[in-house]
Amino acid sequence: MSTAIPDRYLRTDDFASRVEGLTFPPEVWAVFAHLEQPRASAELVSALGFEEGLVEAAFQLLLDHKLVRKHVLSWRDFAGSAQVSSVPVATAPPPAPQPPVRDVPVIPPSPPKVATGPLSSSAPISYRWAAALPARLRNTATVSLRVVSSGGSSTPLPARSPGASRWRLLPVLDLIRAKAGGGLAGQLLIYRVFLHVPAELMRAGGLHSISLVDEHLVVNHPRLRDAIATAARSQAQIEVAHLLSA
Amino acid sequence: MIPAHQPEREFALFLGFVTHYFESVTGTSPSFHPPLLETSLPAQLDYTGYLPVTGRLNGWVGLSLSSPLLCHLLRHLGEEEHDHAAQLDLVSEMAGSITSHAREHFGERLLLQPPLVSTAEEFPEELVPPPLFFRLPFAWSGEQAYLLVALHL
Repeated sequence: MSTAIPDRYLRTDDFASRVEGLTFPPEVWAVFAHLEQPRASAELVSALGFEEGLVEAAFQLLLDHKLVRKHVLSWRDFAGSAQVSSVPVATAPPPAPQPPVRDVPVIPPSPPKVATGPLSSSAPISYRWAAALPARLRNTATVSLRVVSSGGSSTPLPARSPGASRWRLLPVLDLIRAKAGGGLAGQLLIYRVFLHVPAELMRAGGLHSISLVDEHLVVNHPRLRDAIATAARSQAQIEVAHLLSA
Repeated sequence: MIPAHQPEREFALFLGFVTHYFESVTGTSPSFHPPLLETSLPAQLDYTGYLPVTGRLNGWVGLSLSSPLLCHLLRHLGEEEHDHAAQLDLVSEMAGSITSHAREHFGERLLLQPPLVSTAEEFPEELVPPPLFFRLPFAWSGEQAYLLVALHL
């Protein structure tokens, strides 16, 4: 069953003690800056102009570091917010209305993109990471997953296991791309990262040719996942293991 | 401190040089498609200009163009000859123009050696294929081409 109520996230009470020393791409901090109040991804897509997948990946990173938590509320508050029409609103006053997103102070825009000609506007880069997110970020009961051919990998595929939804390559590529500010520089940083992944491992994992916008690519090979995470760490100073772990 | 991705930012400018060439010669820009990473040397189109680079990054950039694209470009330039030699000359000129722009921009940060030109059946023996290629397809006036980036660790 799908839900009509999107998950909302807000900063944890003790985020200040955890935030010290962390480094994320500017897009992640831009999302974080908006989470003083509970926000759904659609609100931030509207406020920041980011792709939905980028916002959801930022939620994921921030959740992993316990900087944000899912917004929960009591039955009384839920009923009082008029989301259940048949529930009599008892004695509790309705919760204060959330200010519209446009009233939230917007942090400075992300760093300027490299001038790369028409690529940034013509390349149809899409972010569809919803299925790549862990169960706690979804309310849907089923996971839609397309597993690509392993191309001779000796490792058997964990067909349609819940963890497999986390092995999509695109969120990893998007995170690396964002580190270099997107555009062609971002694509080339992905290239440098993958130059440090053994080619024979890529071939064993079925990755002979990787379209950098292919949302269906899945990294089935455990050693390949480890190699990608290691290369991302050493070449782009970025942590992607959480996106590739089972 | 130089950001880790700075070499990529500089290398990305090659796309600008290619775009600039088409814009200045034809008045229109090529349209770029999503890039690919490939574990083997992609099949070259009819003619390819190679630009070897050294410096912060070592490797080469290839500009691979189809014969119809080159003929179309030659017509734009008012050239009457569209044969093999004319197409090879045009690829040399394009590679030279891009090299010139790149040298002007990069200075000593990225050194460009004289460009090499070959047909689809040949691959310059001076160049070493890396384990992974970055291929950026593009089209101009409906004809196919691609930019190939080949870096060594």
